Amino acid sequence: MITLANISKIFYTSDVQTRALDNVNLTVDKGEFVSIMGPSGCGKSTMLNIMGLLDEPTGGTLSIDGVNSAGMTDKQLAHLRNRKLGFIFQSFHLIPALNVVDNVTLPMLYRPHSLSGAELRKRAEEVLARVDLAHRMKHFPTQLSGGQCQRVAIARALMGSPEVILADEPTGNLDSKMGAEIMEILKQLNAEGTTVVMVTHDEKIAEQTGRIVRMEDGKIAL
Amino acid sequence: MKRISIHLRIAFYNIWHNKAYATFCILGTALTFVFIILLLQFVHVIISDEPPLTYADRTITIPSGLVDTKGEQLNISLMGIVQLRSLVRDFEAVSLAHRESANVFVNGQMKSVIVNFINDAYWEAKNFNFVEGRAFVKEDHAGPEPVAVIKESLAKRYFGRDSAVGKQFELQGNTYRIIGVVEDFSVLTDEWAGIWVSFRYNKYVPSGDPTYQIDYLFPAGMPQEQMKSNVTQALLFYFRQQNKEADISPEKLSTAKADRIGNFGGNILLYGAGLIVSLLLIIPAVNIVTLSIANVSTRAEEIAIRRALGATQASSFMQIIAENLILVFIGTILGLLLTYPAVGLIETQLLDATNGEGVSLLGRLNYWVVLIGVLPLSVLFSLLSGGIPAYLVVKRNIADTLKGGSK
Repeated sequence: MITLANISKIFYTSDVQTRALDNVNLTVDKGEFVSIMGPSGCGKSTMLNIMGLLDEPTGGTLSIDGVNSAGMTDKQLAHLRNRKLGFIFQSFHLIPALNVVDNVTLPMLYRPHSLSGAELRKRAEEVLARVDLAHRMKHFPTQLSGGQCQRVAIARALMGSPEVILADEPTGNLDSKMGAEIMEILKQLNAEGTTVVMVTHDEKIAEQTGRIVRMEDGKIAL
Repeated sequence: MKRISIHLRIAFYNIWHNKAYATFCILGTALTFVFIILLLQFVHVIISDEPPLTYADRTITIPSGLVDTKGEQLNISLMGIVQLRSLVRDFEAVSLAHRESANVFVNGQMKSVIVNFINDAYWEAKNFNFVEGRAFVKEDHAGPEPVAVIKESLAKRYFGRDSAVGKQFELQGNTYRIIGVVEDFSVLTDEWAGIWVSFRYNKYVPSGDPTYQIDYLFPAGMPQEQMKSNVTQALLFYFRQQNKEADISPEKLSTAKADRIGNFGGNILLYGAGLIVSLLLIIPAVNIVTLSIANVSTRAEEIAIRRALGATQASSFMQIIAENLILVFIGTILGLLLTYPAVGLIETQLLDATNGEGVSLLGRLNYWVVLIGVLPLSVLFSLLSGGIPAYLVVKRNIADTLKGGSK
């Protein structure tokens, strides 16, 4: 499903070059639940960003469903992010100006003519019910707790029925109870066939996934 | 619709949360557009055929500085004008006008107003819009009672909401009854008067100068060379009868319209106006760009989230531009609303003080000029002031931008 071949990423500043990823090779198969672990600065978030087409590798190739992402136009990349991928971030990244239902429907705005207004709302209600937030549709992000914000972010990721969910420390800003709830939702999604790739620091969280990929100094530890 | 609604909601949210920037942007745009609107309106008045200059491109004005071949000044007396009238072929009307900055007594008060002493054919040669009453005709000239036409703004100033027709004023010792009110027009039409009366009562006070401006109106469709030739032949013949050789040729004559455009610099007017409009757009746009770049850093995260969810760079660009368009649109409307007070200020502080009452800088706004000229410039201003910051934001790396995100 997602293949990284000899991926490297170098960050350049005025006088320093930092090699965040060093010839990483990884394949994530359809339906897998993979967690990526490692110390801070080992390159796990960078790898997730590259898998999610949020960042470009300095070298190597990334393929999604066998299609090489190199040379894709901005429109093609945006299309792939919108149709195939769903993102969950550690700091939620909800838009404060929009209420819960509008945040959740946001990805669908970039799929013109896919659903009518009423269908869109029905779908939003479904995904919000799934994360137990149907009663908070009109609330704004600032009126929600961290756990609720993360559940809104999950609902937003689910809105477009993506094949892959990429989660960057989704439980990192939450207490253990909230973290457990989020993990339950992710495990359930995976059980229904959605591929999940998750970055985490937490060994206990990682143990709940199907495969753990450990990273160190920009490389996958063997 | 949903996408537009969300674009707008976010735009208004950001405007509300960046009030200082929004205020600066709106006021800067408003001020810019006051000047742009005025400039475009001025250029339009000068180059267009709007009333009272509808026939200016088929009107030949006898030059005031006529000289003979030795360089000596040539004058045409009132009697001479009557003679000359019979010498010019194929004209439609000949208008006479003599301007005096005179004292007028109205409602017991003395006012300084520019008065035009004219013949009845003046109203045929020009095309004033009458908002009330009528122009004076031959019978009025011959009649026992002096009559007058007054400009709309003066009528309002002197008589308020009451009808000016039938009201009276005193000028050069005569009492005039107002029979008509003409719509305001810009001084840039080269028509300065606020009151028009018959030349029959002219006492040439205070100027003491008895000369008249003579305009020949020719029929529509007549080639301009023909008009100029007809006037030239008549002038040469007229002065030869007085044993003088006028230094005049068709090339030295021009239409009233060409004269007017020439007075404002001809092509320099158009290029100059274009240059000024460009500067008026670019200078404030650069200022707003500087502020916008600081402002959009708060938008960078939102744009990065949208792009992560599937927005293209183009649609993200449109999101930022939408906010700028709203601010510039509000600023442009405010600029439009401020145009009249700005014109009023210039008229009362500058023109009235030096020329007497009733000189209008701008008769009325031409809404076509606003629609065709100002609105596209407003969009261009948006693109200039908002486009660069928007471009910089949408080009940012999504992952880098999201690294420092928050709720």
